[in-house]
Amino acid sequence: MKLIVKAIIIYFGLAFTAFSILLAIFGVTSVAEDERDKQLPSRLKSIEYSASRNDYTWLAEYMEIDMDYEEEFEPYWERAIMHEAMLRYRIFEAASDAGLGEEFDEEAEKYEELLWEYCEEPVYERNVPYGEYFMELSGYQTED
Amino acid sequence: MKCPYCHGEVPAQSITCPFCGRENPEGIAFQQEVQKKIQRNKLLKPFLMKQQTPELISRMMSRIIFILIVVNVVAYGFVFLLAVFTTRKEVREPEKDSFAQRYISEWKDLDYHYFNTYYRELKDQVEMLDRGEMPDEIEIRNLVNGAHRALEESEGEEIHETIYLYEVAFFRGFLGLTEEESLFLEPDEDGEYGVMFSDDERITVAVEAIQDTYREEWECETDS
Repeated sequence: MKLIVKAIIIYFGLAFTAFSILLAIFGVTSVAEDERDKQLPSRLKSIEYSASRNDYTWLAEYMEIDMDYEEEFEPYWERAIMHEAMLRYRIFEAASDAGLGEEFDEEAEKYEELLWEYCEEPVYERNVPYGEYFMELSGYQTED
Repeated sequence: MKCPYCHGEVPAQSITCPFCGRENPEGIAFQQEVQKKIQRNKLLKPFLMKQQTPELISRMMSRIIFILIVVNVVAYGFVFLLAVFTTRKEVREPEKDSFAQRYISEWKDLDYHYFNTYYRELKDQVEMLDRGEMPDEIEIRNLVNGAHRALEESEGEEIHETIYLYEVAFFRGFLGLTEEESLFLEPDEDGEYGVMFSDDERITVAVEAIQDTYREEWECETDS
């Protein structure tokens, strides 16, 4: 009887140990992957990919989640602001044109100023074409 | 010991004297005793094995169980330490006056869960239209439902008004819906937004109107 009990304990113990070892291996590999993803080149590559697809819906959110606040990410933060200014200007300008009310006129005016501030002469050279594109989408042409 | 014949030195276990070659009685007696014991052990072996095996197996099993416990304790201790050290998140802050800091402090004025969900949907659809793609009915329905949900879940009058302003600007201004088509932005007679299912008439009317708007825009772009 004692032997049977021990045999059962060993049987389940072996299965449990196999699971524990797998868990430990999985833990090590996932930590190694996380560490690699946290490195600047890896984060930069991921953001460059989002930006290259013009995926502004997630660009800033990804950067905020990963706390991408280093100098290398500044052009992308600038571009996210430019895109946000363009989007809000277009929405409130349309509302203002539709005569929905004064508050919409004020918002449109506010975002128009911001649109010009950020898109006319972006700080980062690589954002200049995006500035022109966003201005164009907003119905403006920037001076060459 | 001494050989009884030649008195030479004979090893006790030797059956003959190495000097005179005669038999050594003590050595012979010793060897006979050894043979007897070997024979006895041979006879006893099955019986002893039968008697001792369960005890041996039990001991071996106890050792295996002990080893398994040690391995598990080490494995879980390792995983625990790994979890403790890796969950300590490094906190970075954006530099003052950087674009990152400006984006977070100035452009996230409506950082509420439901509004964020709706706003993502809105951005997606505007981006699609800019690329010349037409959002499908499910995407439009998600946008309208998201807008309604953001209004329903907004806490505080100020936040509610800001969300309302953004949504009216988008649906009535940007998409050009009429008041009748954008009734989902308004509360019911009790001043509540309440639960609105995706098959609600107000949602359906809005979705159809948005689809028409998108289609017109898309056709205009295709023509041009």
